[in-house]
Formats: sequence, structure tokens, C-alpha cells
Amino acid sequence: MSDATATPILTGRGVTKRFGGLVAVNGVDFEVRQGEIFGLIGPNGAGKTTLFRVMSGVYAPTAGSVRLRGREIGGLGAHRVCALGLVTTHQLVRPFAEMTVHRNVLVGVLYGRSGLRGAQAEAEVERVLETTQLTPHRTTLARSLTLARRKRLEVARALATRPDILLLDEVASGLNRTEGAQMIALIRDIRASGITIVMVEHVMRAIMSLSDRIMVMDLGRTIAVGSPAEIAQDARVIKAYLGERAVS
Amino acid sequence: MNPIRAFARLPRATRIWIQTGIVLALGVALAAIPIVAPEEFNLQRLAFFVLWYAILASAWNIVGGYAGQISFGHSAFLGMGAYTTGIFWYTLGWDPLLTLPIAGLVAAAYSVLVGAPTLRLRGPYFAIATIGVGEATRLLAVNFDDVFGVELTHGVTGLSLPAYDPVLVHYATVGLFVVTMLTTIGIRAGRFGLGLFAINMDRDAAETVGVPTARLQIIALAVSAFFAGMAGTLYAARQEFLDPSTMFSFSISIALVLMPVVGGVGTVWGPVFGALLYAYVQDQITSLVNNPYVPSLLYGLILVAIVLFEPLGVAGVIDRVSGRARRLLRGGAAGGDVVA
Repeated sequence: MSDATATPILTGRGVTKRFGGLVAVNGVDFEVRQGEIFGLIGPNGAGKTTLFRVMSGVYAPTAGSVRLRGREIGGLGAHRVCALGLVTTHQLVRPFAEMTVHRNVLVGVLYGRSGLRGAQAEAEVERVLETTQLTPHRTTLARSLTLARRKRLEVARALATRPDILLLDEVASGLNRTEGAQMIALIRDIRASGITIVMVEHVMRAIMSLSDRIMVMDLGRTIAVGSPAEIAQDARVIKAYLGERAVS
Repeated sequence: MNPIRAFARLPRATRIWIQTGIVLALGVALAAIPIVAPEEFNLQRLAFFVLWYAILASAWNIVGGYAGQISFGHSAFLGMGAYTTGIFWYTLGWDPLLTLPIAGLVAAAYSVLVGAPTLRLRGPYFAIATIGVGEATRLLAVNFDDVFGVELTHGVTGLSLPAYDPVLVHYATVGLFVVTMLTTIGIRAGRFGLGLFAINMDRDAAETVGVPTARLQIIALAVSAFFAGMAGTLYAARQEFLDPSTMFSFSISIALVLMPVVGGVGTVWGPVFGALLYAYVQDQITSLVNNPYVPSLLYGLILVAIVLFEPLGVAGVIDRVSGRARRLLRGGAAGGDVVA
């Protein structure tokens, strides 16, 4: 999956995002390959979430380009990017609170890329609920779900749009060990179904065990890219996370 | 078994057919009023205002209740429609009821014009902007002739229109009520309605999963204004007089927010309950105490009580009586199927 010959699906060149005087992302290059799980980590304020929003078309980059299969998506707007096959989950889960789980997913099916309507759309909802183990909760209101289930619903709704590439923002954070393990298993299943995954995560166990490749950011720049094993050994990464003295 | 919950459990197609049946039956019954009771002018007048308010409140509900964009300026679209009819009738002598679609389209076009910039605003900011739109539109109607050197709106004097057959207006009103209801039932049950509810809950999240939020909101506003504009035609034909301070009044805009909120915002039948209550209370109190401000005061009190105790309005009270209030409050506010 992670061999260098795999086709890139999402590429960034010199991506810069400035907010007034603050340069949140500074000339970052990246390349996400078809079918891989690409992790994005970095200390607080490294620019991960900003880069994520540029990747998902919400923010237009101040400079540089983000291309999905060669097509520029920077600042295109989330619903158009979704139609091109890239969908994001939110860091703070944002289900449609007053809708049932079933209808939350139905929004993804009806407005995503499946093009399904009526009974076929309903069948698709059931299939997605099954994948994300939400079937028993289909008539529950989203707002009364536990956090772990709301996180799964967030993923379910995104999956329902039939993406080629799924951006997961802190999807394992705040979960206990069992719930985290379930989420990791779900992410593996999703990848096995052929969907490319980009994930930002604070939970190291999740990102280290899942990612094929990891990109480490610090202060708006890329400081390392490589396999989890390479990243764990990288002096710059250790420095960014633990400080100068930990290295020397 | 609570009838509302039982209804919500029925298959979607069945629910649509049942509601369509209710609307058509109501339409036939209401259309019969001038035939069955030709001398009951007061009943006819009351029926007109109940239906007229129901059309307006249901139209408001599409954008305010379904999409959650609270408009305090809907009298702008009502007035636009009324004046379109008034001008065609007064200056060109067209039959007012034939101008129904034109009035609707003019109001819809105007709503797209003012909606494009204002719908970018969220929640309270949008609400405040709509107050401005309503007021600006009133001033436009007042000063139009002076500014453009024409004689169309006749400024503050208003338009005194010829007499028109109230029975014909009654049939047109019943017809428009039926069409409005079928439209809101259809929207709520379908993909478009689901998208509007998604916007209502969380615009950004909706956008993320592919809902073209800006386009959907504009369409919702245009549909809403289309019906409000046609309600304007009915008013012009019934009252035979138009003036800017009535047609573009802030108090009508407020009433259009009150009725759905009182009846049950975001539900199909809530605005109808609200309109019934509003028109009836208005009528009864006015004849009882002979003070035009008492109904407003009473209505304000009802509104406060509803916001405090029963956010789902009359629709919520009905379910509460059936003893399943909690689940309805959770399930039916918007997006649920309870008071479909």
C-alpha cells in the first residue's frame, strides 16, 4: 500500500495559509497515495488543523496548490470537494443533533456521490450503519448517543457520501481503550474497502498502529515524513515533541 | 397508542398520502363555505383570514422552520406580491386573480436579490438583516413614485382598487392553501427538506457531506417568497386597498414568526394551528374588548409561555396530552418524523 510507486491521489505544493500576520502553514508539500493511511501529527499549534482545512477545500491557501487527482480544490468549498470524492469528519463531532442516526446517514447518501434515491438510498443507509455498527441505534436521536457512537456516526455520515478519500480529524481522541480499539478496527475496515485515509490524531497509539506513512509538522512546516518506525527515531521529531535537551 | 406517534411509525409514502388526503378534504370542505352559508359574511371573512395566515405562516415555515433561517422581514415579499397585483390591476386593468403567478414570481425574484447577500449571515445576524430588508422595502414602496417620477405605488396614500367578487377570492384562497400545504408536505418528506433540516442543525456539517447549503437556502427562500407574494394578491383582491404601512408592516412580519412558533415550528401543521389560533383570537378579542392592542398583548404572553414551557407549540401540547412529551420534544422539534 505504501510503496513509492503508488499513484498520488492528493498532493500539496508549497501550501501556505496566513491569517493576518500569523503564518499557520508555511510552504508545506505533501503527497497522499492511493489506498494508504496517511497520518498527520505535530505539537499543538503546528498547523495540522489549518492544513486539514486547506486539504478539505474549506480554506483557500494563501499560496500554493492542493490537488485531488490533479484537480485544484483549494477554497472550492466543502460540498464541491465532497462531490469530487473527498470528505472530512469534524474534530468536535457535529452530528445533526435532532435527527435520528438513520436520517443523519441519509443526508450523506442523498447529497453524496452515490446518486441513490428512494428504496436504494434506504438500503445504502442500512449498509453504512452495519459497517459502523450503528444498526441497533438507527432510531436514536444523534444528540443522545454516547461520544464513541457520535464519533462513529460522524464517520458513517462521511462514508455515506461514497468518498475516495476520507479525512479524519481526531477521530480517536476522547475514547477509552475499548472504544479506541473499535475505532481503529473500523478505520482498518474502511481502508480495506479501498478508501484512502488521511488522519490527524493526538492519540499516538492510534496513529502509530494505523498509518502507513506519517508527516510531522511543527510551527507550520513539515519536519519529517516516513513510516511510523522512522518517525519514532527521527531526532527532529523527538526535539519538537520533547524539547532540545531530550535529544542531546 | 398515541395517534401522533402511531402516525410517525407509518411508512413515508403512507404518511404523505394521508396528509394529502387531509388537505384535499379540507379544501373541498372550505370551498363549500360560500355555497352552504352564502349569507354568513363574518364566517367567510374569518375563513379568509385563517387561510390567508395559514398560507403565509406555512410559507415562512419553509425557510424559517425547515432551514432555520428566521426571517423578520417576510412582509416584504407579501407586499411585493400585493403591489404587483395592485399595479397590474389599477394601471392596466388586469384581473387580479390572473396576476397570482406574476405576483409570486416578482416576490420570489426579489427574495433572491435580497437573499443572496443576507443568507450568508447566520442565526441572529440574518434575522436582524431581514428586519432591515422589510423596512427598506416599505420605504421603497412609499418613495417609489417620487424617486422614479412615475405613478405606480401612489406612496403613502396607497392604492384604492376596484371592487372584486369576494367569493372568487375565497375559491382562490382555498386553492392556494391546498397548493401551499401540498408543497410543504412534499418538501418536508423529500430530499430537499432533509437538506434544509441538515442546514438548520449545522450548516458546516451539512456542507461537509455534500449539501449545497447556499443554493438550498436561496431556493427555500424563493419558494417561501413565491407563496407569500401570491398571498399578497389575495389580500389586494379581498381588501381592495393597499398602503405601504399595512402591507410592509413590521407587525405582519412578527405575526408570521409568531404563528409557526406558537403552532409548532418546522412541522407541516404547526403554522396552520398557529394561524387558526391567531386569526380566531384576534377576531374574538377585538370584538370583545374593542381595543386593537389587547390581542397583541395576549399573543405576546402566549408566546412567552410557549417559549418557556413548550418549544414545540400546539403540536407539542397535543403530544404532551398523549403522555409521550419527552420523546416528542427530542424527536419532533425538527428533522424527526413525529409531527410530520
